[in-house]
Amino acid sequence: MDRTTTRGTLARGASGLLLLLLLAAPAARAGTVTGTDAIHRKTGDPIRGIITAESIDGIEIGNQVTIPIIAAVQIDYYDAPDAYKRGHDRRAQGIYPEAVRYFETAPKLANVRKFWIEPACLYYAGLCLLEEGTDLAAGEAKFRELLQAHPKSRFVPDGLVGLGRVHFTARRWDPALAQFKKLAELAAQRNGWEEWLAIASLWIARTYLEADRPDEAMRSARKVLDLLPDPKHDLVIQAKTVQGMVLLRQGEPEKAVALLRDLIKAIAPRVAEEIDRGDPVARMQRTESQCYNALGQAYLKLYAKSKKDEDLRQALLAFLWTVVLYPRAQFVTEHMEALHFASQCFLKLNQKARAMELQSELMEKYPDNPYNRVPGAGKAGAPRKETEK
Amino acid sequence: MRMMRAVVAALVAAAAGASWAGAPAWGRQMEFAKRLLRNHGYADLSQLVVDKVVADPEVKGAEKADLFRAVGEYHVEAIESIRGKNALQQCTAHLGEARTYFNKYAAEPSVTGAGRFEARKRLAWLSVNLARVYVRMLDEPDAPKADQAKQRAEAISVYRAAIKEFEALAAEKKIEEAKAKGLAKLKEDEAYLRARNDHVSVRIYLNDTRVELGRFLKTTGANVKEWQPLIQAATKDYKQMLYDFSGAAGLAQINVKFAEAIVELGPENDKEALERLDEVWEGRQGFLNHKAVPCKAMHIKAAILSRQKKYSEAVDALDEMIGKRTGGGWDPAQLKIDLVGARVTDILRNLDEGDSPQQYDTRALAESFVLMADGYAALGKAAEDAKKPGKEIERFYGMAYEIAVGVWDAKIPMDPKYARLIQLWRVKGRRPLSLTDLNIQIRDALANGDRLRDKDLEKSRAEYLKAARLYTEVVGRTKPEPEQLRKIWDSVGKCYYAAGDYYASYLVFAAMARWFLKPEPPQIVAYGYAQAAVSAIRTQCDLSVKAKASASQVNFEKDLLGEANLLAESLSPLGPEAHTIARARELRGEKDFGQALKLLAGVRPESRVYAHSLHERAVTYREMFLALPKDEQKGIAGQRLLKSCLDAFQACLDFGRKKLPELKGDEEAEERRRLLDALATSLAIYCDTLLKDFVNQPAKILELTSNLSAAYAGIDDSAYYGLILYSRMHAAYAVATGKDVARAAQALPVLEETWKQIKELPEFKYLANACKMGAMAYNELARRLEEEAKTAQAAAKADLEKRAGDARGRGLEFYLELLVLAPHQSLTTYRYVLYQLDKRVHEPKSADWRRIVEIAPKALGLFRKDEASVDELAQVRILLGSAYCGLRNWREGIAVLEQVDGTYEPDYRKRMADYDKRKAAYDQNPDPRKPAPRLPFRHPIQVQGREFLGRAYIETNARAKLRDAKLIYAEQVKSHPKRESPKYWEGMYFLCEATRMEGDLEEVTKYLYRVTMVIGENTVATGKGTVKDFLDLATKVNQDVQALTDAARKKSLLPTLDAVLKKLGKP
Repeated sequence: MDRTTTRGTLARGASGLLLLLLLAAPAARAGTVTGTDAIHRKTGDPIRGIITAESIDGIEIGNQVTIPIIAAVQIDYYDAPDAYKRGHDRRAQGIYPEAVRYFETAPKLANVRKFWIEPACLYYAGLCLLEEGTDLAAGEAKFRELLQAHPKSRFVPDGLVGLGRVHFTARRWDPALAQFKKLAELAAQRNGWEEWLAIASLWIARTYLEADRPDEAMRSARKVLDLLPDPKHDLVIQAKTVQGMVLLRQGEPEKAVALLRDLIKAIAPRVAEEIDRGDPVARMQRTESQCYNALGQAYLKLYAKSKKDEDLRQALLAFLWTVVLYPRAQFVTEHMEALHFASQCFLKLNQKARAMELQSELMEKYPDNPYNRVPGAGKAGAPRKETEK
Repeated sequence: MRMMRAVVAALVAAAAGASWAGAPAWGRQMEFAKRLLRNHGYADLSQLVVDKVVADPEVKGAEKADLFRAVGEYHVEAIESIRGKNALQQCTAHLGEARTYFNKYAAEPSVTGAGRFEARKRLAWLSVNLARVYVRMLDEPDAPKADQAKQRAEAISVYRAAIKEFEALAAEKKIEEAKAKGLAKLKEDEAYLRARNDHVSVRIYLNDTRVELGRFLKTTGANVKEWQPLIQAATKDYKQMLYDFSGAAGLAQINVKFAEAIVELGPENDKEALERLDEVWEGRQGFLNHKAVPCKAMHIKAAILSRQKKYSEAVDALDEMIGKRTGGGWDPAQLKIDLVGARVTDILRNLDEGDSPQQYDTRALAESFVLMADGYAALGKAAEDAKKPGKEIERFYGMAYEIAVGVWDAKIPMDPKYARLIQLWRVKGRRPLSLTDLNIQIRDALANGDRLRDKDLEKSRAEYLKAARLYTEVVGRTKPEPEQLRKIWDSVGKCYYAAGDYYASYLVFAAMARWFLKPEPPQIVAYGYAQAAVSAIRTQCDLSVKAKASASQVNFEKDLLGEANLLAESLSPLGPEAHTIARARELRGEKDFGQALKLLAGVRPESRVYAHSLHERAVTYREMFLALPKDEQKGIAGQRLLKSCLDAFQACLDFGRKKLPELKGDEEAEERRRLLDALATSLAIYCDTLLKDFVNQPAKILELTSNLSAAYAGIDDSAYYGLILYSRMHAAYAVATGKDVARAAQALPVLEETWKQIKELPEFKYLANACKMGAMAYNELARRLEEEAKTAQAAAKADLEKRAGDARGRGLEFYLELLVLAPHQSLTTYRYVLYQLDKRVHEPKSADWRRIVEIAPKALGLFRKDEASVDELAQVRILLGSAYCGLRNWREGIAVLEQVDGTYEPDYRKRMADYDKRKAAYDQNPDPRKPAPRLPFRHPIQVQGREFLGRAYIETNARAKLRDAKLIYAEQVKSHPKRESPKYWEGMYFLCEATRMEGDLEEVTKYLYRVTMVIGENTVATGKGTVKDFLDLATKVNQDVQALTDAARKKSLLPTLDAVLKKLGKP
């Protein structure tokens, strides 16, 4: 739940004038302060002022006003060092090693408010290492340092999710569950932290799913649905995706198909919006491609029972959705999976030329993909890259 | 392909300005469909997606209209993706679909005004393109001559339809423009300008189409009177437009079109055309934003000059035009001839605004370059003829070659004839062979090889061989990247294979399999090539054996095959020991069983292929046993082999059952799948062996295959799963029909359970056989019960008969289930099921008739065109017709039965006419040595159908059909003259009834009187025609007579009727 980014130019509107007047005196005492930070909320104008401390409980402005941390969606720090901003730029471009270097450098070079820069940089460096996926141990170290050195920082929940995700990616299910459950306990003790609780539950559900404990996964996913009443909420949609996968594992492909079809229909308008916006995060698109892949798997299960070519064709079309519409670098895991299984479907349909064509594409684009080690290998697959939440 | 692109370009141009608001619900689905087609060429899957979107009931109203339009556009775009054989037919189909959807779009109530006009314009333009496809079909080198006249007529008809539609649109728009002009306050009024633009565009389309059709008629040798009026009408209208729209911006374009049209009317118009084209070219400064108009003018001018054989002037005109279009980028005088080709390619690849048709785009410019190349070639030819110096000739041909190669290098589609011409020009121009040249030749050779494959195999092979050599030359002349190199060698291997040089193909693929081990080892690719190498050398080996080649050659090739197998197996996912299995399999094929068993004995239980080795051992023993003479099979040695075989199968299964639970998790999933495949194969062949006469242990199969999923979890994914179930069904059938009655009864539940599982595999190959086994097992049970009933006591007899009936019913149910699951069964199966349904005793019978009515049309639909089964189809129709009659749906019944009658009637009439002729001849000149000609008989099926038909006619009480009914029954009486036949009495009865219904009381009285004369011989007890039936009928006739108002008629009829009634026993 990224709530910290920087903006090059700070808007200096008249809004929040009263607050500014309140904060004027402490700001003046600080001496070195020359601008204002901006705390963006879900609705309304951003709150402007000088942030003087942050913790799990809230953000202090001028040592007088405390804003609950959950109210902040995004914070712009007026004195964010250049390296920090560059780190974010590189991260957005997917150049993770450089981003990590910048995040490591920023706290050393800048003499800015350490209470946010240090945990923020540790968190984002860890996140980049996690996204890169080649040095998970380094990522783990960053998150651990964050949690140990800044136990009261507002980045604690992010750090817990990050650490859990490191374990999840390394397929260490028990430690991953421990982190996510820790977050769930923390969130349960606090008012207004339902969304963090939902995030924790969602990750717990995903972990159970991967650990082949479908009943527990289903329970955790249901918890997300109970916590968040809005059916269009990102987390709800992702929890439903998990439910679909669980149904699949439980050998109920018919129900999985129905659920995934409904889900795909529900998110279609949001995917279209995201494409129109040109949103680089592409969260809904990733969810959609994962839903289609899951749908393909569900139809494959159906085919295994029915042996009807029609089921196989439906599976093929579901995989081809990702093959055709999501060939971009952002969707590597999904694209690899879709290419492999679409090729398998073609093979079963006795369309060898098409199967080989997709197999070649898979090999050319992703020479290290896990599916090409042996012909027909598959279920071990690549670890799923879950939509960041 | 060039044609396809031209069609698409034309259609897209015609759609300029067309757009629809994409609705998210289906917009992405349509995008998906388009990308499936465009990026991968999956036309079938793309069509599936489109069909699903179109069938979506949630798309309604205006959105539906948008969807129709989007689907129309989809089909237009689909044309560009068409590849391979039948491209033109596919193009026609897509255009047809596009027309259908644009029609639907135009018919939607939400589409009005401008939208509808655009749609109609688009439809007419689609017609023009459809006509162009028909024209193109005529040019196809392999087009059958027989179809050409039809295609020409189709093209003309579609062109004319488009002209008609454009004429209607032009007339409408003319009125609209006049109205808008009247209402407009200013000359720049938007509504007026729009109406005027629409009017102009439609008239241009109209006249273009007229000229195009005229030109087509002219080139296909039509009469002047046919084509001239069309072009004259176009030129006249263009001239009128030049006056009407004198101030319009598009006047120059009309001028060019006018010039283009008048030259078609004869060379006498060339002068005027050239003047007009020059005028347009001179005024080019005025329309810088529409460079296409003056450039096109110069292109046409060059074409006219070429026709006049003024090649030098034509080339100059093109030089000037291309120079201006490229902003001075083209000046061949300043270029060395070696650089001309590269310059042409550079211009075409980097042309400013090269994708804008208004600016004379890349494609148009490429056509001008090709025209220029033709011009240079013609100059070369002229120089040759005039015996000019060799250097001059070489320069002309050299220029032609370089320009054409330059266009080819820019990847602009060219007419296939240029592949040959470019070679000619290169030789005459003394130009060195280039890589592009090689590529052109390769493409040409591959296209020729493909085209000739079905017609002249030898020529086709020669072309492929040529392509393989050319590819090799490409490798020699260039330094391709590894990936390119892989593709080239892959093509070389395939070309050699297609050329029939299997040895060379083997060498290439074997080298590739080895080469691919370094630097990157995508093992699956290397394995694929190794398999290709095996396939190639095996084909060669088989050919040598077949051709009885020398032993040394055959042995050499066998050695190579062995090596290829070793190579493939070393790359196989089964691991290095896989080659042992493959070698053992080969030894088995060569009947060297001992050696095979020796090899297999070396495989250790830890090996990945241990299960495979046990299976192979079992199969080897089986082959050894089968190879023995029949009498030796029963001997000690034979039985020992058989035991070894069965033991080995059992050992394989035992090993697998023990090993499977050890293979857990994702890591070992692949290993598990391979083991399961081996076990499934082994189990299937084991079961097959157990079913053979020499073993005959069906009970053992039932034991082996019970709880399959528990014993071999995941076996239902195996390719052999269906076969194993089938074996289980077969075994259950064998037990159920065996002598042991107690065990037979126990086998029936197994049969039911297995059938239930098999039904889950509707595409299973032996589904129909499995069904028959189920049905026959129950029929056998019914037969046994019926036998038992014959000797049983009365009370038990009824029960046994009921049980037998139920068993037969269950047997029939198997077939009924089969027809639902897999409707593509043989006509015989359908007929059998229908017959059984018709004849069985069942309550309520109407249920059976309804099922017949449900099933029979499906059968008729499936085999409608099967001329070999006319009789069977007629029988199905009779069953259907009689079922309708049973359900008292007489009209449907009549329709079906009349079809049966109609099938045989022409033949009967023919035979009747023949009979009449022979009879007349015989009567005129009777020959006592020869028998008199006999009346022909109707086909028994027709007779059967007519009996039902007659009954249906009477039941519907249709007066028009009563005469037919009478004829049918008169014939029946004639065919069955003997009184002991119930058919005679039935025929007489219905003949009387039909006559009575007609109101002919005199005639019916006569018939009844005739009946009474022989009524004593009537022994009919069931059906129609009993004495009572005649009495009832006579009573009805009597009542009718009594009701007559005509006293004289009454008086004449009553005495006879009284006598009839008396004779029939009226009390």
